[in-house]
Amino acid sequence: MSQSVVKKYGTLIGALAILALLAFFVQSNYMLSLLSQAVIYTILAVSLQLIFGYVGQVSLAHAGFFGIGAYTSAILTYHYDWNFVLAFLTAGVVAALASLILSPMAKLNETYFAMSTLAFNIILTIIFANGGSLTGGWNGLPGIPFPNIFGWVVDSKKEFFILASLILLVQFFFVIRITQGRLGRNFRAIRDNQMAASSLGIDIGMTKIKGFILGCFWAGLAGSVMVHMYAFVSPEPFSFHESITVVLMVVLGGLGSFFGAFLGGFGVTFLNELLKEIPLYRPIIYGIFIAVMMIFWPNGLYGLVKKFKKQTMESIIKYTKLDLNLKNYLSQPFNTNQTILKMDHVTKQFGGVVALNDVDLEVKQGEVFGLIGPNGAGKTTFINTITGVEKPTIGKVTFMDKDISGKPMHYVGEMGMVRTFQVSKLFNSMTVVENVMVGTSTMIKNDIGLALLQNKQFHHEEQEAYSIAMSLVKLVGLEDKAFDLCANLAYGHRRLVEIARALASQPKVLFLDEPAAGLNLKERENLKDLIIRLRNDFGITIFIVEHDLNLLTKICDHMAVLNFGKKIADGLPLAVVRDPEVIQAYLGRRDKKHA
Amino acid sequence: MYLDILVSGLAVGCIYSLIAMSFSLIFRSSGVLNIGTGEFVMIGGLVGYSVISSFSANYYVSIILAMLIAGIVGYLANTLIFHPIQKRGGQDVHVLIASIGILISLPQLGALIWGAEPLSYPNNISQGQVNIGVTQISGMSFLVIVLSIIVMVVFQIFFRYTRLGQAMRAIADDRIMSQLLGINNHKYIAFIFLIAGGLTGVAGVLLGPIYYASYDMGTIGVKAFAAAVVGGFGNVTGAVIGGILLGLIEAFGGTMISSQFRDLILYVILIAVMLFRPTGILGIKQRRDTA
Repeated sequence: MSQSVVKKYGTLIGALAILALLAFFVQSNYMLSLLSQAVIYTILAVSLQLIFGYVGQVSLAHAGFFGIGAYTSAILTYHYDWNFVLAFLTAGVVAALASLILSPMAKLNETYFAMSTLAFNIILTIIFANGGSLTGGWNGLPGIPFPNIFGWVVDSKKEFFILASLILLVQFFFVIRITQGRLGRNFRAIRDNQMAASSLGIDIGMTKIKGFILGCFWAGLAGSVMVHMYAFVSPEPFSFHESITVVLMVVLGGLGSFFGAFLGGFGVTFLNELLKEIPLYRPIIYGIFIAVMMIFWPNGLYGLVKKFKKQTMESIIKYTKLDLNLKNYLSQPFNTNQTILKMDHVTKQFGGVVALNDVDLEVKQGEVFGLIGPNGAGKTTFINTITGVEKPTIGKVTFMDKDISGKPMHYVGEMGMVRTFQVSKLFNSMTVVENVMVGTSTMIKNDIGLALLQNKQFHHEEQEAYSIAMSLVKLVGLEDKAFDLCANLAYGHRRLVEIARALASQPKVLFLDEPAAGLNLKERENLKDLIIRLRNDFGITIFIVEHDLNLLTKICDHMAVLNFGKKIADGLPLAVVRDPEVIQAYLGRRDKKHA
Repeated sequence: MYLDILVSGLAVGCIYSLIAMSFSLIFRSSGVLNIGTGEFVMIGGLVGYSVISSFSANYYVSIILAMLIAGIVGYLANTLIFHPIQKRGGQDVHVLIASIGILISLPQLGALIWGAEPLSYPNNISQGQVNIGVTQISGMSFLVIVLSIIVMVVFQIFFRYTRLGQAMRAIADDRIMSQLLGINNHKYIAFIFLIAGGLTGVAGVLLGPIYYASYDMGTIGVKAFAAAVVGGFGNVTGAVIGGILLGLIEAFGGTMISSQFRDLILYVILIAVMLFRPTGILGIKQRRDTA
């Protein structure tokens, strides 16, 4: 247990030790003021790390949210004589609320998001600078009162350093906990591969918004501390240039590491001080530095350190494996004659191209359903249309008696239709077990609240998720690779991890998009056994799209054939492969003259 | 009065269009979104100023030279930064961050060379007034519109009727397919950066006489990006329409609200479009391939 505490809170303990030493030994006011600044920027960098390094969104408005917190706190204490503690908390809340305005953008890709947040920061600067007597305009507001925290008046440099450090430590505690449970896993999954995360029932937009709001909340708090320290607020520290400085801190420290953000925050603040004499050259140096770093060390300083460490063991806290019955977890009712999935006259057009043309199909519970068709027949479009990647142009898809046509992917995933992809989409920065654990996301409930509390329920859920993941990894035969990073896996193993991950979300229907493509003979044989086992032991309905007729005729209960977007056959496998139209589609028409 | 606003709005709009075209061209062909594109405009504007004031050269000569130099800067940005990142397996995020590096370093470089004071172009470029009915219209705005249209038409001809231009369009359409057909992508993408940089250079020299030239004029890039997005990002015709539309909105909207908040208009539009219709007006609805 003690070892795991060190592993878990190592960063926190390290930071605590460094800060305590500094607070004890440093006496010069100049140094203390610089250190306080570094701590405040570190808070900012850590909060951006949550948005950028964890969720993968490049926000260029972080200094803007920092400013919203700063101005809120300044205005409330200066104009309205609020108490510091109240103003401080309100600053965070207001910044978080302001971030809600941008939250619908969370769905956009990172470049759009970066540009819009840049514009948002410029808007904020204009508003701060033209707020009249409320904000003091470009001249700013002097004479912001010192904090009074239940009688503790913070008015010396040392006390400010202690206050800022305390907040940083609380923040470290906060972010370490928040990123440990389900939410943290989902953050990283989204950063690594959005579509795969969505297919497992994770609501991408909502999860990203959570990360963004939490990050902005902490930025607001940091802003509040800063204005009270300088007793002055003006628009300059909140321009988009400063946002870029914060991005630099995160990038320099290394994406996805809170300790990296700590290094970056302190590093850049001291570098700024060092380059104070040549302020004109500073942005040039930083700019070139960023560009060079992106070419040679895209993973930052922390990435360089990490290279020499064994990567696999540290990211996951090992739980003891519960003795868990996989059968209870995965089993579906064996009730074969019930229709589980139905398509009515589904048509999908891309502009003028008709990819699916009036397809009717019925999948019964507990069967292995095979879909074949020559290249370009519309098989992948078919899966995409059912699982919510595409909206059908006309027609209806019904799953378990519910109309799901046009519903988003995570909704369909949560209902129990989970898929794998033609080209495996794994979360490459995570281990095999973690990948599979992401699959349990819809089954376990812990979120911000429980992750902060880390009570019995939280540990129980995490332990359960871990045990399920381990059992599934064993089921697909990868137990010796369980703690390997997915980026290093071989092709055939990647496919198996994907299947295990899909199984973790308790699928009712499992869609396999060309699972055998690129596998060797032995691997194909194993895959066949696995599929049969999933059906016979657990009663999972399996929908499989394949080219390998040999494999399909062996395992399928039912088969359908697509050609040019039309269904040309549907029935028992042996009947389907003998159908003259199917043979013609696969082997071509015999020339009419000879016929 | 309204005619005057219309023409000056059109003039600024044409400049936005040129920059938006540069954004779209680069994005379509190489997948790079260069946040620092606005800084190439700054380079163009300042180079143009130097050419006119130091060598007392003709305005048109300064346009050509600014185009050339901004083009070279664009070319270098690709060969020195973007291409190496992509070649080493960097993702979009890394390219994006590197372009942030351009965004912060180039303005300071401009300030070191040309100083921090705004520089006014000599006002003898086009002093004349054009009379339409009873209203008088600034000759400069007219000149800007005419020159922008000429540049756009020349580029259209280039893209439609020359082999080089056609290859570039092919790359913009489908990078992988064109590579399979034997087009040397890297060579052409480098060329596109050259041309797109040239477009921004022209925009800078056209913008100079309307406002002024200074090291911090690069923020116009964000407004031009708004234009590209409104027109549908990646769509070159859309970029032209979006630019003109936003120029007009800014000109007419600016008469209604106080000058401090005038700049807000386009930024707010950018955010609104991103919130409600990120595909823009002419956005290409791309097929989302799963593979």
